[in-house]
Amino acid sequence: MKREIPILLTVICGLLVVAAFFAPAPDAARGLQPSVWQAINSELLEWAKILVAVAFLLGIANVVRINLRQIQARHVDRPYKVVLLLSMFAFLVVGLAEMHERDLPNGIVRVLVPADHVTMKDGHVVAGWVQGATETGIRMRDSDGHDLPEIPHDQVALVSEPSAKMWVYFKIFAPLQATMFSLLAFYVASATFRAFRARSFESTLLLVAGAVVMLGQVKIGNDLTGGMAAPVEAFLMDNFVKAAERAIAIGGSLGVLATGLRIVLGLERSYLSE
Amino acid sequence: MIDVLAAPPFPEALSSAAGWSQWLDAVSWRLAPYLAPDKIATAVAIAVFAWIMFASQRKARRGVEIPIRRLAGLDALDEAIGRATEMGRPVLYVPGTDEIKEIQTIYSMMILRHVARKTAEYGTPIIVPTKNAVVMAFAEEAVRQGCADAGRPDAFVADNIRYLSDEQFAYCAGIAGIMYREKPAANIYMGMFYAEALILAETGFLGGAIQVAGTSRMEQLPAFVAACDYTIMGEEYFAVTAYLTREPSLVGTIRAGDVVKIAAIALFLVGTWLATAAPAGAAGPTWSSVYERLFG
Repeated sequence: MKREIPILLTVICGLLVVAAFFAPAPDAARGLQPSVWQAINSELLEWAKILVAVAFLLGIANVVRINLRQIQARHVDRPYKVVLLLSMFAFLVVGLAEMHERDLPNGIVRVLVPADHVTMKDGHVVAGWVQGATETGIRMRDSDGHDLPEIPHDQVALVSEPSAKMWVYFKIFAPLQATMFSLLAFYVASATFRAFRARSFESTLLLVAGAVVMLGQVKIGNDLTGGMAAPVEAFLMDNFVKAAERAIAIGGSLGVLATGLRIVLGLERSYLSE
Repeated sequence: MIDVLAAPPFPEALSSAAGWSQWLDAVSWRLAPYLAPDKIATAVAIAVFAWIMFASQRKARRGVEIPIRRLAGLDALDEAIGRATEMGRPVLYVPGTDEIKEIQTIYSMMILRHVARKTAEYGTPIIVPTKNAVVMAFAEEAVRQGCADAGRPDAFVADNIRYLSDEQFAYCAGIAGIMYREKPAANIYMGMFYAEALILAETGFLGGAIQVAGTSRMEQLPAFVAACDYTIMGEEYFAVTAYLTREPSLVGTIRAGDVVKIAAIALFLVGTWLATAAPAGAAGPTWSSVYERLFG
């Protein structure tokens, strides 16, 4: 049963999703209602979201377990492990505090959530924590947790709600990601340099084709070759490259279809420890 | 004015393009409550493919020899693991950066099981960094099962299946860190890759590891071809488990793919001929437009 139940669930869910894919769209003119399969599919997608959210906890547990073990074992990289765990939990705490700002005790909010600022039309600035907006104005709380008088909408010029979570994301995380991504430019150069060495007939062909494509892509390259590079590049891209791409795409799609069918029909079980 | 509530009649004869077009209208109108009209051709194509697949599997199970051409990249998997064993260094297996709903990731888990079986047989550690917690759970199970297949369940090390980050370049940086610190002798990339493909492959190259990559994502194939020792591309990627296990049902699936490809070539040729022969500026349906509705 340990194997049969997951396979049965896979087959049922797979067939339901396939049925939803082929179900007709609602058509008011012909009186066709939204299909029950599509409703089931939407429900399954909601379940999938919940499963993914729960799996995040598994991921956090994995990170904590592995890094704590290495810290305990006095691994040579333990300072980095400490930084990783501290950053992760600090971000988690700040993020949770911002999400649940209105339900948390004032002392915690004051420490973890940056204050909001409401700039009035007369230039006066009110600092505090925005609690929400009514039809008439904005409700705020001060640093002692007391409600401030409601600020009428027509007197407000600007509401600024800074977020520590987003500050960390945009000021630290995004530049780090961009740094990693920018390495790609150097790696493209080094990989191209190796790939374009004329060691055999095939690699020489690759070198020539690559050179033509590079020249054809930029104006100066095209000008240097007397306008020859761009048409040759277009010919190579439209004929040889596109043909090869389509051949690979068709082969890959058939592989996807075969594997998908095998999974949906319960024939492929190796991913379930069969 | 067209009455959408009235069922189009079936034609009296199917000898002309107009008759076929009318027949298609009549069929799709009657099927519309059950099947989206624009997906009828897809449904038929999938049903035909499934039928060919089952027929091929039956044939393979009966013992009919279905040859698979040699794939150097797959032969290199053993070589890479053997090299890591000789050097006493781990094998790094990267299952791509997509979620488990991506079919390439699911297939990567199947390949991982075979790679884990080999590493367990040789007593070589395997490190699997993942970008997604669900993929991590699948990878754990695949490696555990691979070790069990090899008769070495003790070879499974839970700490070597690692969740790094859901962010693409944080994950990429984490893998680069593993390459620098733990110095794997073999890097195996199997699955769906995006812009990080070349960063990973070049970092692995600089580390001196033997590298085998497999993906059917076209945009990243040049990156792997340029930076890896062996690349399994396109449909080859979905032939890995059949090639490694020679299991009849899997080999039959590959034959089905080949049969469908031959049929697709025939359809392309007929379609090209019909499109070329179609009269320019024809007012009514032509054989080419009917063909496009059927197979387009």
